Amino acid sequence: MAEEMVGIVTGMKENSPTEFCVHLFSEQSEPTVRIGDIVRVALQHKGRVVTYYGIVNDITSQWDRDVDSGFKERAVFDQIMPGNKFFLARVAVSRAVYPDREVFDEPLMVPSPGTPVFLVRSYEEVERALRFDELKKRGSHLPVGVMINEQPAYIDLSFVLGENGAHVNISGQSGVAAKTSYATFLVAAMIQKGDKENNAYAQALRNGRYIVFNVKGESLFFLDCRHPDWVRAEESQVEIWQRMYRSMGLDPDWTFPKDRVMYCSSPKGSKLPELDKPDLKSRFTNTSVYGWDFIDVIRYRLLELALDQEELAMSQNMQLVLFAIQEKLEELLEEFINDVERVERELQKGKTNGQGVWEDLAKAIESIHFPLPPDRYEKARQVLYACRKDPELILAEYGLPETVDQLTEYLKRGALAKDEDYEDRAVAEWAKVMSENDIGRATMFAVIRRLKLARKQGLDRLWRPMPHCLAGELTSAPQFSYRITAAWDRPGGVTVIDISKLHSSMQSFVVGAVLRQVLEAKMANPNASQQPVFVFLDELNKYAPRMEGTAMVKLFRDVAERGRSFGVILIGAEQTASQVDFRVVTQSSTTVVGHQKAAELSHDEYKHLLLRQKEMLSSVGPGVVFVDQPFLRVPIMVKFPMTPWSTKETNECESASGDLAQYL
Amino acid sequence: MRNDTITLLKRLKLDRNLQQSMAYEGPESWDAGRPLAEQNVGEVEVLSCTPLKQPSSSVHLAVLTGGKALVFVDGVQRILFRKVLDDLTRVYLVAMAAAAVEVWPRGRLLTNTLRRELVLYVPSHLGETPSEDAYNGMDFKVRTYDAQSAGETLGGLVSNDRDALEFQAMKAMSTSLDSVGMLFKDGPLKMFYPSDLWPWPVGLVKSLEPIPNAELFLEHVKQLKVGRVSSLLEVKSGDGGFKKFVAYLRLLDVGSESSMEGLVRLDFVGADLPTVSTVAEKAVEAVVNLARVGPYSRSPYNVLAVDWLEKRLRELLPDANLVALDLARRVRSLG
Repeated sequence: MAEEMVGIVTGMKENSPTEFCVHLFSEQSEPTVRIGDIVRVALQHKGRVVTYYGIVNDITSQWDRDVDSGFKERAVFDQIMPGNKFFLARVAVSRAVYPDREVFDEPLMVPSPGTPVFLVRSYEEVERALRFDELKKRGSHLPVGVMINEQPAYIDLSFVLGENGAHVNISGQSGVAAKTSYATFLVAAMIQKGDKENNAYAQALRNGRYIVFNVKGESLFFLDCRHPDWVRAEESQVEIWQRMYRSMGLDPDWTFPKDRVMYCSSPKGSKLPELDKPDLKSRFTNTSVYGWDFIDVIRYRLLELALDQEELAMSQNMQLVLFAIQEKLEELLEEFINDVERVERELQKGKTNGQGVWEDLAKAIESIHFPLPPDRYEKARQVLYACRKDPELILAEYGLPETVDQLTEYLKRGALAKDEDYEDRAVAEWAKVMSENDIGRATMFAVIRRLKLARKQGLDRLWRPMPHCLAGELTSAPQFSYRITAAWDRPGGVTVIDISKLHSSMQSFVVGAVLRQVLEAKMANPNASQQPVFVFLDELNKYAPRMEGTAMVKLFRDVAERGRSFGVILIGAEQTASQVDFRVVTQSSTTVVGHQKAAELSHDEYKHLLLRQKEMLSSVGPGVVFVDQPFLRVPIMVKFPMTPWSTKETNECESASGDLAQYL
Repeated sequence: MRNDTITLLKRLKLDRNLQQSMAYEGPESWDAGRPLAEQNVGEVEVLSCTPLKQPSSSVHLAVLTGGKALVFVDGVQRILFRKVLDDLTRVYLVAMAAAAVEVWPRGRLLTNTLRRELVLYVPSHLGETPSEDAYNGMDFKVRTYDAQSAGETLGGLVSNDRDALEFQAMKAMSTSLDSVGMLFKDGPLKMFYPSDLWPWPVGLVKSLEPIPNAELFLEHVKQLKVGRVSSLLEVKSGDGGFKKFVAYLRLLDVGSESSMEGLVRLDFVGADLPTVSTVAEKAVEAVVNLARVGPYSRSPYNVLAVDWLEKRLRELLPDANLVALDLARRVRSLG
């Protein structure tokens, strides 16, 4: 241990076992210690030395009592008399250890005034002081930035992956490189660790699925490209960034591998061929279009996500009608699936005497020359695909709407139905919804109006009609490429989902739909925790606002509270954590705070930060964040370098440009 | 503290009397050290008096302040305990400290010049003299004095010992500074220091100097206006071994031309009579340097740096209450 005494524990201020103050000595009239530095004091307990490590979290300077007036201060400046400077550092205890082992009931003793305080400089001792040595031993260390002493800081992956805790919350003002850049930095660190190491944590990261929602422009559609600012930066600056990456054990030239990133976008329009074209302006490779067919909409109860969440939360009537519609949709889908399974069973027994829809279903199953999947919904989808008939005609037999237009049509006809109309199955079923649930015509039309509004806002692009084959035999399972599951469920795959061009209510629909699908898939997967799904979402306050009763909030609470058990890890970001649902924010084991307004920092969500840290946060520059995790006693300030991968649109990327023609 | 010292304190019934001592006089007033009169510090003989005459041609003076340090030396004392014995002789326990402070080019206490002492003054007729030892890291001395002698008063002894500490501080300066532009000593300046003392201090005279034939000096200081230098006095030490020339410079108008306040004493060590330009040069140097650092406008006779130094030194003296309690405890523990 290099002995560099920087001062003594002062008795001028009150000390406690968790925080003490140091009178800093300074030979050159300036103290050598800075905020973020690590110091050490030695205490005696029953004849044994206990070493207390701590992080300097505040430094103040003032004249000692000898300069007690403005006049004397001027005199000191004019060199008429000496003035004693008094530098005081506040230190938060980070760890207490005996020479050979941990102090289990730490920290219980208080350092006495006059105890010498030493600056910790050696790499190993800094790691020891901050418990990074423990993390490294377990292999659960993930670099999160570089501390003031240029050493890397780590967080414990067991508090990220769900073992001890899960979820990451990042808050900070826009434009100060705190949220999106930092989230991609964390994802990159996780992927690189997964690729490089070979322990259980790294394995989980290697098998992880990374979903990134792009909420602004097409900024995250170039993760596999070089950052234009990095390319244009001066060499000396790039060297600093590279050094920071190397110190963290990360590759300074790494960008997201092109073969691992899939960029998903909403379709350009609601009708073919626009329905299969991504709504993107600058990215032309590695792209796909997402959407949901009627089976997804019903199965994942997506209808409630398409309507205005605030209005829905306030109107019980609306909720009741929506619930009734959802229930009817599920009932009808169940009937359709039951029929598919019944026909399949009868065909297996050799019976072929069906009529009407049954005949269509039988023909479809007979044309399928590959084993049908065990999943009931998937099976129904494939059989419907193979029907060689417009699915709308088959579904009409059940009263099932294939699109939102059909749903509004059915609801309308159901609401206006007369006795003679009841011969039509669809009309009969949807009229029954009204009578059974005692729903008034006005209320039903109110819901219809909302659905029409949702359609105008783009629901018809997201709730897409079922594709179907026109003729021929099916020798391999059809790929429903619009299904988002196909994109995100790849080991180590990064899926960027664009919602920036959607209306805000449709953005909620997409976020909710993806989350519900992910949750359902993970709940059904016995190895869920070994294959975690990381979901990065900016503007969390918009999707999980501090408001009771909305479907989205319930969904996010579900992810926050139960997601950990199924390996669903939310990396949420927002400008103001105080506006995000309290239960969602508090479930995050890892909290990252970047540049923030002082008024926001006065909320309870930031109470884990020390007073001076809050003050610093309202003035820190780009790339500086405070990271907090349960294993750290004190939040630590880190700086993270500019990302070599692009987090903004760039036209200097060859891999992003492709054959333009197919998108036009 | 050794047992024989404690035994002596016990004989003085220190523990009981300490309580009384503190009851009627707060420790704040003890710093002043009253009633320590300055007197009888040695014989000084004035051999000649040479009035300074205007030189026939103008003299060019260049005062270089350059990188040379400007230093002040001062000492403080605090009476921690005072007891009047049955025969009206007195016992004092005095803490004293002295140090030098550099004001320019760096403002700092020259810590290696710091000297502290704790001295117990006891009348010699009490008999045994305890040996010297230490008290909480400070030198503890026991000094006997002849209470019957007219020439050896307790006040004079304390003053002498403090002056000796200041002298030690000045001696220690040569090891901490390469060059000293000017050294000022606050308060009464002894007429004779050993001739090898370096640097030789300039005295800030603020009261009557501790010399028996004060009237003789007053004669030359009277009517001395601001900025004027008195006649050069050739003085000889009492033992006759050391001669030097001194002159007074009035630096401040304190409202009375006959006051000893606001005076600076300039010493010229050597056998030859200094020239007018030498005297003028030293006087100007004193004026320039003192103008740079003071005086402290809120107390015109003090310089800020001296005020600072005195405060610092007092902080380094032991607390009278704590010393008294500690001594009482030790006395009682002896049975």
